[in-house]
Amino acid sequence: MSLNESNPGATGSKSISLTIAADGLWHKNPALVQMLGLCPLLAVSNTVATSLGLGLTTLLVLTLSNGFISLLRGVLDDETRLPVQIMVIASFVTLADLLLQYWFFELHARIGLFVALIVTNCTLLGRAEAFASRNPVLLAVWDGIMMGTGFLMVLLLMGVIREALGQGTLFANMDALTGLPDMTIHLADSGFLLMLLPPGAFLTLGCLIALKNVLSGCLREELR
Amino acid sequence: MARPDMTNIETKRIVLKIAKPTLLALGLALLLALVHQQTSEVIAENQQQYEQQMLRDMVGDVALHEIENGYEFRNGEVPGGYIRKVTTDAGYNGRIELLVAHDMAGKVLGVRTTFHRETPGLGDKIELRVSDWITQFEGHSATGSQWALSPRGDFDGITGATITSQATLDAVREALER
Repeated sequence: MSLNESNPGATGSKSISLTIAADGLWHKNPALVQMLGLCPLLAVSNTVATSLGLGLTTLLVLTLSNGFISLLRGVLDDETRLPVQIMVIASFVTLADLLLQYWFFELHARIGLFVALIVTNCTLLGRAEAFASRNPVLLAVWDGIMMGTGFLMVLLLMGVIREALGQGTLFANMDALTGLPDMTIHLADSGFLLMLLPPGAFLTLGCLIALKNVLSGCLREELR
Repeated sequence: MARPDMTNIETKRIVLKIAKPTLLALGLALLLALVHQQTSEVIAENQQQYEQQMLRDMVGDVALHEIENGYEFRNGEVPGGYIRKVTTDAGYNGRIELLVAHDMAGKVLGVRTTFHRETPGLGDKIELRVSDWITQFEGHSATGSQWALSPRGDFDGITGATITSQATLDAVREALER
């Protein structure tokens, strides 16, 4: 079994799964380390509700496309592999878009604009090409789940920070996503507008990346 | 004679290379077509419900007839007024779409934002679920009011979102003048 990009010391399916999980959530986190998918990341992280909505959609599409592309790995030729991967991803995004309108119409009214952007999320093509097209289905699905969760975590964290600082609320409009009653928490009457604008997204992401690097450094010291 | 054979094999290889993605594309298209067919009815219903809810919020439970760019409504037999769909590109982030309901005398019954991409936290106050700013147009008419932002006119702007406020105001007036 050739496991691309994985720790060469990792053997046995259990440690491979653990490596994949650690990579997706931390070491190779798509948003903080690979810096992939920044376009949707920056566009929808205004509030927790939109972050959660788009993060979950991305997680689902990434898992499905990874699994499907892994199934095709023996069939495709080198020349046509990339276009086919993009086609598969685009199909699953369209599928997600339709289902979102079917089940969560109000949420779609809010994040619908960005759902199509998932196609341009390089995390998806990146994982398809670097991992799913070279590894067995189960591992590819697991990689999709872990990378998607890593992306979702960063998106949620940014949503919390930006909504709290920029708008003075938390969980506003979550009712459209969950169907539960309004659960908005008001922290302040108004916020620091910059945090809601695109520069705020870059500032937040920059701080998170710095924090991640500091924590990684500490962890390495500890292990020594 | 190896040559024709070689060409044959080469052709086969190329055909196969094209056939595989083509078949896959067809398969995926079929899947999407099926899902679309299964969901389109409910999606259209959702869309309509969403809009109807908004319309009923403004004019109550009346009989609506679709006309060009909006609806005409009646209270029983009496013509009640119109709901106009207006679009402006003058928003801070481009397009804003509004529904403007007015009675036969041209008095505003309600305004709702159906689409916009204005700045969250500022310009999105034109949405009723964020702020009741948009309700200030109710009761005004095209001729009876000063259609400008205060202090020059009768309407308050949203602090920090003058462009959005001005665009919305102009669009409402445009709807009334139709």
